[in-house]
Amino acid sequence: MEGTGGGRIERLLRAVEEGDRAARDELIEVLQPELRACASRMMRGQDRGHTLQATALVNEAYLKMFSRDHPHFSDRKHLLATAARAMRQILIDHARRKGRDKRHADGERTPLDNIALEYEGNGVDVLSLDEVLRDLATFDAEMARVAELRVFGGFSFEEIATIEDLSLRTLQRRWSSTKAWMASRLL
Amino acid sequence: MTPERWQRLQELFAAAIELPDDERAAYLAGLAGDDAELRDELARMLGAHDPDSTWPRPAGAEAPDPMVGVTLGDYRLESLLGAGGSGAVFRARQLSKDRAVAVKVLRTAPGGARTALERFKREALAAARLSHPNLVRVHYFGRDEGRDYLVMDLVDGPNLRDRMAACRALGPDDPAPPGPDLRDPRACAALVRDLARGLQHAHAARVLHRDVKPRNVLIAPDGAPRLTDFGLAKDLELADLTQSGELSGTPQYMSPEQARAVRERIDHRTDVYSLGAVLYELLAGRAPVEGDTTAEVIHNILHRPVAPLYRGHKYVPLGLALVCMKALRRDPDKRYATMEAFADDLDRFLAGGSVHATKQNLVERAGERLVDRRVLMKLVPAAGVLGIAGGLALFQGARVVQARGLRPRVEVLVPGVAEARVSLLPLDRHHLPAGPERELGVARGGRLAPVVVPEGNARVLVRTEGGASSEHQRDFTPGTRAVIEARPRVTRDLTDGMLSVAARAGVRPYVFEMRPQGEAMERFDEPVDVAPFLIDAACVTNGEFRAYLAATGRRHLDHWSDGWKAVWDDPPREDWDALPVVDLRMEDARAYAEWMGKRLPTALEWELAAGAYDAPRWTDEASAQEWNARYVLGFPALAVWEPTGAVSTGAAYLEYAQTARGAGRATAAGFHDPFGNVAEWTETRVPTALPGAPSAAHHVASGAWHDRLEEADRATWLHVWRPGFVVESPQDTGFRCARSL
Repeated sequence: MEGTGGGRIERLLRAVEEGDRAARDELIEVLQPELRACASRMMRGQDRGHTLQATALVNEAYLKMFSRDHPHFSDRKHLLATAARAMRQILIDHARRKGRDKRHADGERTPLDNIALEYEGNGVDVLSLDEVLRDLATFDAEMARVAELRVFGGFSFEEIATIEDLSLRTLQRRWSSTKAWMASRLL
Repeated sequence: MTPERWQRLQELFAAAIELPDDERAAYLAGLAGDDAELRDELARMLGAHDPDSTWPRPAGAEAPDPMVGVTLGDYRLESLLGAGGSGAVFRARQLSKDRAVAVKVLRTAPGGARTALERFKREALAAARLSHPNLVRVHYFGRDEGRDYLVMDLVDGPNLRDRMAACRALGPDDPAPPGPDLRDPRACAALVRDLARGLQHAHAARVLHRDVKPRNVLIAPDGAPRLTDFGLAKDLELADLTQSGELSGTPQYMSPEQARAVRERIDHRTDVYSLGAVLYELLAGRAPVEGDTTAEVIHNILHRPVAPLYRGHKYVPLGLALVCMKALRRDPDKRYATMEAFADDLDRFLAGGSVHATKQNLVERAGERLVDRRVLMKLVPAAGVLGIAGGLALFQGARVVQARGLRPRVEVLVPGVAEARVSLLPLDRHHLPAGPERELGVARGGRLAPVVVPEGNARVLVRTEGGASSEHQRDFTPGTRAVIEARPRVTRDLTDGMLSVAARAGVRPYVFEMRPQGEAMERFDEPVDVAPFLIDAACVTNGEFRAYLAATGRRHLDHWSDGWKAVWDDPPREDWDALPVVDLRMEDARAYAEWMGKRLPTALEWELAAGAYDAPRWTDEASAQEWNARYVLGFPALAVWEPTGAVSTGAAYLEYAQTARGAGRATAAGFHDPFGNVAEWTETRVPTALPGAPSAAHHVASGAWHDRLEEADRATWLHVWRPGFVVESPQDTGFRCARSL
């Protein structure tokens, strides 16, 4: 996509670090398509509602990422990884709240409910998944990050290989065993 | 598990999955030398190994990239370009001619497969007959490897949706990237004119598109727009393949008659409307009709008039605005009769001539506000008999009835008060007076029967003979039926524990906005004057809230979880009753305030009281860090950002919350925790129409444990804004009350 190459983003990131407010606005505009893509990849579902879900998720990810007023993202890769983390956190928070808050049980569904349902539809309990990822992080932080990028960020293996600086083959081999290990814990 | 064991496990696993299934058991058994635990772990992993599944990502979430590299007939798929409603589109190579094409592969959706295939074939049949520079050419429809696919021209460029976003990101003086500069209304007009010519060609071939929208317009490298995705196309020659009543099309661009799904009324003027909607968005920066849900969008298409372009959009030339609005008329008979007429009028505008489109007259506008003129005529057969004059009178009468039905109303209960005057003060976005106060009536015997109030943000004021009063902030939207329970109090009885903040002129309020696309915007508004007010020195505590619950016959808030109720009944901390209360919805906070004869502060009031607009600010890094450390922000719950050790909000509250009136954490004026202990609800709404967000998005002032004060010298240092829709009842957010003076 034109104009969103790494160079421009990294230039903006530096300006944001230096406190340039206009650069921050510009950065948000530029990143919008990337984050949206990230969110909609997470739930490339069948129904129309998923656009709204992706939008809601992106908006919340923004709030999480920029609410601290001074994001330090060293580069685009870091920023996208942070986006994946923000989305994970949003889903986790949502799942916790659901568990606690039975009011929603028969009420209307929010976009986040629908996202959570898509995970559940694939036999994944978001909270258990989160626990397994934390467990994984204690002995293989790298694959825990990969899992986060893959599961919550929706990135392709090519993208993840670039972000984590791994060869595609290595990544796929290690992901295969990591996925099996996670599945053996969760399914 | 240790990293070493994990390493070993991965190696064994990699070796095992290379083996055929029937040899794996022997392989496992052969690992006798290794410890049994490792072997069991490996066995479980092999049992769970499923190379084809996308798990743990949601079903259907996987990009169909397994198709890349596959050859279908004469075409090899090279990369995924995008996925649409009916299938995925790939860049592909036609092997016999060695040329690049686009191939759309029908997604095999379980259940809906038949309909999808019919639709897919229809697209092929319809589009293959069309050849026009502004339509994406379809070459071939085939089936191979069990996949149905469609071969089209490859358009190497962005779709109009992305192009709009790219142009919007430009400043007014930035040079435009190659292609149409959508900041220029004339360029927009020319682009839509080209699309209209393409559709004119399709209509002449008796093909309707029915899903004209920015995403279906591709911008070719030469800048020409090309319409694609005839997935919903209706070939007028063929029998209708879809069941009537089925909703097809993207809601924002759907015509009223389409939204109504009245099949017989869908004709080529449906495309006129949708293309008009595209033009509208190009000019206004938003779709003519918006909504949070599909149902809401459809409701709005049917019931809400499109905001005229020539009102708030000064940079749109009048002629072009008129053309756009004519294409968007609710009644198809009032639109351009043909695509050609639409294109011709755009040409007239582009040539500098006067357009044929005119403003709607009053009767037409009234008609748009109503359901539908024809529906009305059916309901009121007399209108036809009475002739135009009589019909018009009935028509306008009906409009009044309709409008009454929608106007917001308020009912006021003042228990135990014989007589109270009720008035209404309209407010602006900062909750400052936006017009004169007007009387609503007198509540006698404890009640004012429902009265109609104007739409918008307002404060309802209740005053008794004895000088007691109460304030109730409400946002009156069409259809609101507000019931206010007032407990008027005398101001001097409420001053205890409250700070008095003097009137202040020339304050420039900080504004945080979320645009519909999700961008966050910060700015300072025009200077305003703020009237004096009282505000609680500290947050409402658990003890105070407990007393309120008891006084209103409750022990808990209904929405609290069993866990939180248990904590509430048997607090794990000695100082529980002095901690700020949390886990409230904004409405709960407001209800408490009104019960006390107070109200919630506005964001502006909160900031003024906290000293955010005072000089000098916290300018040096060191004092910022000190406040950071002392005032809770930046506690280790920041770990919620780390992949390990996430701390739940409730747990963080139990761990980190401090008493509401703790020593050493107040401003000189006595305002406690300006940087937050818990965050706080305010009455001010986040000015946004975020898709997907419920309407109750309120500004939250200050911060809580997981927030961090990064830069103290920024004008925004005091704000960690979180619109309330993130969490309806957050466990890091409390509130304090205010009252006007």
